Amino acid sequence: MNVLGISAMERDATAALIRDGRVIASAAEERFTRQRHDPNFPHYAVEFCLDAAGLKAHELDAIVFYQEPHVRFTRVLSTSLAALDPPSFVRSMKAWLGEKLWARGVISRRLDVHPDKISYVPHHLSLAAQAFASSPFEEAAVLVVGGEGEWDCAALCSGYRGGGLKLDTHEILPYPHSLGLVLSAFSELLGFQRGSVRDALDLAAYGSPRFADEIARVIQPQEDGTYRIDTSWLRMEAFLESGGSPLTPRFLEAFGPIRDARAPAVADRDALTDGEQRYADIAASLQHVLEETLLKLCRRLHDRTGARNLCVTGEVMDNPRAVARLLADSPFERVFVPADPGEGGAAIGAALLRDAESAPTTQGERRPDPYLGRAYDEARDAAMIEHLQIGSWATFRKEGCEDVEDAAITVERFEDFETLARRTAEELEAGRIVGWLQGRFESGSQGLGNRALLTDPRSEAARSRLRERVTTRALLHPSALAIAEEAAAEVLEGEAPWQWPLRWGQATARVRPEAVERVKAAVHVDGTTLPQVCAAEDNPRFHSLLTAFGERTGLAALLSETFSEANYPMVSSPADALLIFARTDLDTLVINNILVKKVSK
Amino acid sequence: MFIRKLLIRTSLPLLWRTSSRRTAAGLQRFAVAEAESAWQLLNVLDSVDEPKLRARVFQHALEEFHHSSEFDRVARPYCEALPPRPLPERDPLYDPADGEEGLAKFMAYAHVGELEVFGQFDAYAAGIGPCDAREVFKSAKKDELGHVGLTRHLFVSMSGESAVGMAVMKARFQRLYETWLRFSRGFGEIPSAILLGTIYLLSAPLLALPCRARLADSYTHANPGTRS
Repeated sequence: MNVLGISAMERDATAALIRDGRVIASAAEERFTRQRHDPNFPHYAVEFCLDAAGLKAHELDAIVFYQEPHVRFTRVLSTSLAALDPPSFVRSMKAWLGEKLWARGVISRRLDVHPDKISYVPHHLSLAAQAFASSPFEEAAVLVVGGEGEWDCAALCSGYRGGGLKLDTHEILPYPHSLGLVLSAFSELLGFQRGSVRDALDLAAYGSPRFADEIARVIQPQEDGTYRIDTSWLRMEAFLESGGSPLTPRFLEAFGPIRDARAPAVADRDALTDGEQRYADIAASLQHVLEETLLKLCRRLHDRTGARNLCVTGEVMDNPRAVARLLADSPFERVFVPADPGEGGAAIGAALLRDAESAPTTQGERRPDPYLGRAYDEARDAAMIEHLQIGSWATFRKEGCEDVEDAAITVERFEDFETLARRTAEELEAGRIVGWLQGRFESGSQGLGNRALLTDPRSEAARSRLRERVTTRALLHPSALAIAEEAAAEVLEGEAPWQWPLRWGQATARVRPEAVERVKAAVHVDGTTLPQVCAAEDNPRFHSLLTAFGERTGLAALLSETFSEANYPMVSSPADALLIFARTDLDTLVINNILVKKVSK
Repeated sequence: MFIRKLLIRTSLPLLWRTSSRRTAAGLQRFAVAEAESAWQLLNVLDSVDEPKLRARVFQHALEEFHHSSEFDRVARPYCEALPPRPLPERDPLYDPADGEEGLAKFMAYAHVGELEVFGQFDAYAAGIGPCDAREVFKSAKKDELGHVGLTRHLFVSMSGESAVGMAVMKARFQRLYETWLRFSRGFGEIPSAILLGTIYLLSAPLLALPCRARLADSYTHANPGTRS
């Protein structure tokens, strides 16, 4: 059975193709359109998924959409009418009556398939199904904490595989009690875009939670372990179709004015001004309240299910410090977060659930796999590179990047991957920044060894250069440390087996004091790092590179960041990677079996 | 073209001086448009095999991408929080199924587009006072002039000099038609907004309170079910 899952029209449009319980392909539309969080119909992602499965749209057995638009519409309508705000009503109705409400018709028309093949799956079940089905567990409690679904904002579920994929919903925390929307509002206060909650909460490492009591008046903990949002602090209608700022005068009076996003981001605790310190303290307080709230939800879920394993998902769970807290303090033994815990992952979940309904015996995949995107051949690009005029790039470089007028490009081809790994390790040891593009791109926003920017973790200078002249991301955001499984215990507190969030950079971990010097560039201001513990069976090529680097330096670990520039999605094709190579101080680019390098003439 | 230039030159100093948020949004729109051009070229690159042609298309995409990030850069200082970036749906101008003929048509279309953009950047560079944004317009203008020549050259190498006139005319009509569609879509939104506004005025007094009650009582309405 071939099932296509689609999420679209809100954020991170994604398509996923499931065949007999196996995820054949999944990709976010942004990877093909180069627009971060692209919400438009995932035309290119669908095309890729169908290609990967060798199918035409009419050969699909079923198509599922990740939420029930007509139910969500009732919530949007209620919010916009309750708000007594005509512009927000007009804006949201235009969007909903124009296209969003008619998802079945839109999909049918776009893919030229009969509407009977198309069905809807409730939002929280789409998310829960992805988290549980892609986990290695036989049974688990599932906690969904997102922004907003139909009426659901969080859900407490459990899943088990007994002959198929089964999900039970124990409790739903409905709209307007949305942690995701509150986090978005605070992001705006902290000077970040509403969708950049993770970036905003990176400020938390620089502050102390002295505003926790004030924030607990917005996110109110309940005695039963749940929470309520006091919506009098926010303009909830502002979350409908970008209708202005959600921050009310009361909110601004309590937490101060919106931080000026133009202010330089300082990554040194001692250099923070009083004003900046206040914002860092607000972020730390928010993080603290969020962690406490999630822990209480986990305890409640544990009491209800008695499960040993926990799957957590939803956009709020894209928060490494909170996941680390769940690993340490929740009553569950093992925790799993899917590679794409946001709306994109819901496309996979919806399709898995539909597939399991029709063919319950086909479930069975156990080893989580984040490499579900498109792979590219490098031959045509290798031929093209020889005709590129590097001297002409001089005027198209990012501000502050080195002059390339007198530089040349060399291309080295390798038949044997081990030789390429050793050669790349040599480049990294020399302090060069390496762009690493291999095989299929990752699902979710995190580069996990197939689309990565790499440097020597001992070199703070290389990290600064990477941030200032390649990615243009402020130094205050932490970097990940990719480390071979065999070497992880030398550096990280804890021991094998490493839980999945520590393999995928989804949870922070403390660095052993004696190892800090060896990976100092990847150690954050609070003494933690974002580990990506890599086993040979998870990603053999990346593991070989880490091992080759370890042979040269004594530690099989690299500083690793997602292969992207700030405000752009992760690179997909070699051409996308070459654009970054041309415009920035990226020194070396490895595309499958070729190594491209800038050299002085 | 002349009227548009004149309008830009006369209205721009006033419009941009009155609202820095509008200035930022205007520059951001240019960033989006240039990113769209870069993407169209990357889409072409995906279907071209000849290495030299690929290299030229890549270089062109690089320049458009650079313009986009430059417009983003100069938009930032104008307001404390940038408005959300528009995310238009991508609509490829070149379909690989159309082969070389389609590629030539794309080049003619791009040629006309580059000419228009050159004129627009020229007017903006003249219309705003000395600032970073003006420098970006000036430098981008120079690059666009290069693109005008390059797209023409590529078209001629595919279809010959004699086909230029007809292809350019068709491309101009196509762009005119697209402008008309955009305009009429925008115009069509006015009656729909009036209609929705009227519906709101009639229904909100009756429904606002029940809707508030529904939101306040949402927890008891949530109905956990089982799905297997």
